[in-house]
Formats: sequence, structure tokens, C-alpha cells
Amino acid sequence: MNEQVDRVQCARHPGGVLVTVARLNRKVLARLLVDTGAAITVVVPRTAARLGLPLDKPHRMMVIGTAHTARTSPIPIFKLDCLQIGDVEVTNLEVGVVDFPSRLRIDGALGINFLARFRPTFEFDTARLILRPLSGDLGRSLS
Amino acid sequence: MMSMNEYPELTIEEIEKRWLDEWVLIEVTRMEDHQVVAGRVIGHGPDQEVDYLVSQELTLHQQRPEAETYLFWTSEPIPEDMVVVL
Repeated sequence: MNEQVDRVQCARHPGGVLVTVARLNRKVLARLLVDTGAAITVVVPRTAARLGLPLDKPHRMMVIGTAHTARTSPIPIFKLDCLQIGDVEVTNLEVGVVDFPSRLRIDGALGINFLARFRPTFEFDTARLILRPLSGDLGRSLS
Repeated sequence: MMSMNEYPELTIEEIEKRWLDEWVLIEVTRMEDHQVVAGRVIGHGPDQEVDYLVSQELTLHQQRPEAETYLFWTSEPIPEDMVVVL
């Protein structure tokens, strides 16, 4: 097991939320909100287009419920080859595609299906996300 | 079409000063501590032109699959008057 601890420097935005720059499929860099309330990592349609994901041919559909509406809705799910944050990379990661408000110009949210592959802790005062490896090494350290 | 070397290489700070409140597409040329530091500017524009910038990005990846790109809003991506609850 790799015991390396990765300290990811994020940016702190209004309300204290943390936003990190992720590398998707080793070619596209995107700003993702770190979101422990999201079961699955999501990207906005613009980011899906940047990745060339075929929105009419998803890997599967998933019904989601969000905090701001009483309704649930199905969203398309795709598998990314890889998503890298800091020095760690997770492969075969499912991501959903959802709309954010147009004034919210971030590219998606980093959810539990990424974070739970580590033992994450948050340092809100320094805007750092600390990722410690789990036994079994589901994520991969690149350094 | 311009060759890649004809696109100006600028730091993120320079880009944010020059094109405030715009989307900017860059080919990343320099990263430090996993932060994007500089890149070659491929295009820029307001919200209405972001789809065109995405098409430029896809074209670049077709021509040069090894290129790393970053499309970002140059000012605060979360407005000061908005609190995010997703």
C-alpha cells in the first residue's frame, strides 16, 4: 500500500466552498467543486462536450435527487478513463451530466464516488483537500 | 490557420487582466504544484461564444491528442451574491 498523503491546494470561493482543478481523461482541465453531498461526480454539459462524450449514448441513466427541487430526474452517466486531482488519479470513474445555473461558471462537482476512494479530510482555513490512501489502493499515486 | 507557435503564451494572471469576465481557452504550457500557470491562448469570448470555444478545443484535440487544454472563466466563477447548495 502506498502511504503517500496528497495535499491538494484548492481555491476558496464565496461561502467557503472549495474548488479544485481536475485533469479529465488526461487532456481536459476543469474546475470542480468539492462536494461531499454529491454521491456521484458530475460535469456540466459544456464539460461533457469538451470531453467528446456522446450525450445521446450514455453508459447508463441514473435518477438523482437534489436539494433545491422536490423533483427527481434521470441523468446520463458516462465512464471517464481517468480523473486526476493533485498527484492522484482514479480510473474508470462514473460521472453524471447535469446543468448548473448559467451564472455558476464551474465545470462540475467532485463527488463521493471519487472522494471515497481515499480517506479525505478538509482544511478549510488553508483551502486544502487531504487525500490519504485506503488499503487496497483504489486510487493511484502518480509520483 | 495560425500555427500553435503563433498563439501568444501568457500567464493566467496576464490572461485574467486582459480578458476579464470572459471565457478563455488555452493550451496549457506550464503547471506548478498542479495549478495552471501559463498557456497559449486559443480563443476567448463571452458566454454566448463558449460553444464555439468548445468546438475549437475539440478540433485542437483531434489535431494534437497530446495537447492539454483549459477553458475557464477569468473572474470569480461563483458570483459574490450567490451561495452554492447543490
